[in-house]
Amino acid sequence: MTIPPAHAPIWRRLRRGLTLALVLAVTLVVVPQSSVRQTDVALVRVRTAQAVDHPRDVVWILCLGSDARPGQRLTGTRADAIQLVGLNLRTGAGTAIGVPRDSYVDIRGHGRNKINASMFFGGPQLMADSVGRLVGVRPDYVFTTGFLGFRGMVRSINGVTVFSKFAFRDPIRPQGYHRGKNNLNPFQALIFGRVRHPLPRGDFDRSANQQELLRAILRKVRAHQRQPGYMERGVMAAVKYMNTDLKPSELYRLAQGAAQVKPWRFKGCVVQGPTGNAGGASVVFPNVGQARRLGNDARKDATLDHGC
Amino acid sequence: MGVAGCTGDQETPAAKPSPSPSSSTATPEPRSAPLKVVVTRVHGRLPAKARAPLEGNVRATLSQYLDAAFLRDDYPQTRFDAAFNRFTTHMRARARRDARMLTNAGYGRTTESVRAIRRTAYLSVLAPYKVAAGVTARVDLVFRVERSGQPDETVRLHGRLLLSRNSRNDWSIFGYDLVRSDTPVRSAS
Repeated sequence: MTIPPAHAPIWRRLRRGLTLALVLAVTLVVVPQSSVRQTDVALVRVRTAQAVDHPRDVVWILCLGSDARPGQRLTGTRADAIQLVGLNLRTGAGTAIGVPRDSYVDIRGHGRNKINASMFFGGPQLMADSVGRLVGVRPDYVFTTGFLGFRGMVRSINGVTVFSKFAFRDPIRPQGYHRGKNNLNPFQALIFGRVRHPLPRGDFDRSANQQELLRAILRKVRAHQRQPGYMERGVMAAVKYMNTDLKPSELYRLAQGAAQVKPWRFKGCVVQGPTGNAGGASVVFPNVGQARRLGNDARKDATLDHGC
Repeated sequence: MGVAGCTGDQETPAAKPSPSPSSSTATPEPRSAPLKVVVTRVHGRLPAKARAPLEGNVRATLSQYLDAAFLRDDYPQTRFDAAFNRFTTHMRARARRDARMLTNAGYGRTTESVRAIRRTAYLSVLAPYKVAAGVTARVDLVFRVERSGQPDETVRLHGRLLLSRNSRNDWSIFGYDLVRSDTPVRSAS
């Protein structure tokens, strides 16, 4: 219908009036009158509270990925992945300091060598000592797992979702790893944390990917921690697949505390340094000054206030 | 994954006493629902004969908390300090800060009586070596608060209580993740 311009205001008023009448009519039909309502509307106040107690407010864990092959002892071979993880169970902050496995450092009693050889020479204790001396933070616990163990633990939480900085291809994931969001099964998650050749900065980017895996596990656990039995299943997998001297009850409390850490407050930095050759092998000469600065920054509160 | 039998059929000590036979002329007050504690999930292995004792021990801890925090028979009341006796040391201080949510402190002064309508705890157990190492109790407590000069309230407290074994071999609450809703009860017109 075409409205002559002179009549437009009248038409608009009429339309508004009709709309109002329609709304009132619908309201009268749909909304019951108060005299016939069966229930009162009550104001329900809802509050929530959440807290987990752990003997320490800040916990430092050295997380090691061993490259032990089937039949080899987890703690008797070199460590491929080295992440020093700080969790502040009071504030919900977290920090991961990644150490390139080829970092050329002084190993107590064994001279200079790649840091991951500490595991071979002296097991988790010597590994903790070497990382502790590089970063200046002594870990409270050392957790070691292998390829199968890592996959078992990721399986127990039904896979993870990572946000990759780089796109790369690997036969284990036919569709490739995309830049951004990737839903990974346990094997694909393992590869995400292991590959370095397709990454622009090799070992440094791989270490950052390992930190993204830790963040992804945290996201998954936090999202599902209220599911009946979810935390118990996860801790059971950790007991089964991880080497640690923590008792299951201590691991359980630590896991429940760790689930309070907020993924968006979990920051990661990788110790940098130039690459070169030493003892006939390709190595990283770690930036000890940066490593100490990161350690000093996060030691007391597991929070990196000054970035990487 | 098995479900043990319900062991929550006894009246808890702090629940309202049932009317005595001599008071048969009065309308009996509805009884408080007893606390039902059942192991519903076990990760690891927990022998069947260990389940009932575990349920009993966890029940003792949960009852101590829930009875002292809400289901008391000495209202009106303003002191709820004893509610956190079964919490770990550090958790006690934290819980006191949440006392208005974790206890009946908000209504204590005007409360005449409290009656449990629902009181359940379903347990997920971590038992890697045939011994329970940790327990998550999924609690659901619904109770009616009768108040003087104020509308009654129906309160629901549900969520998780996290328990670990302490040095006395009892169970202590080392964490909570709870939701509480308070709904005024309107009389029918």
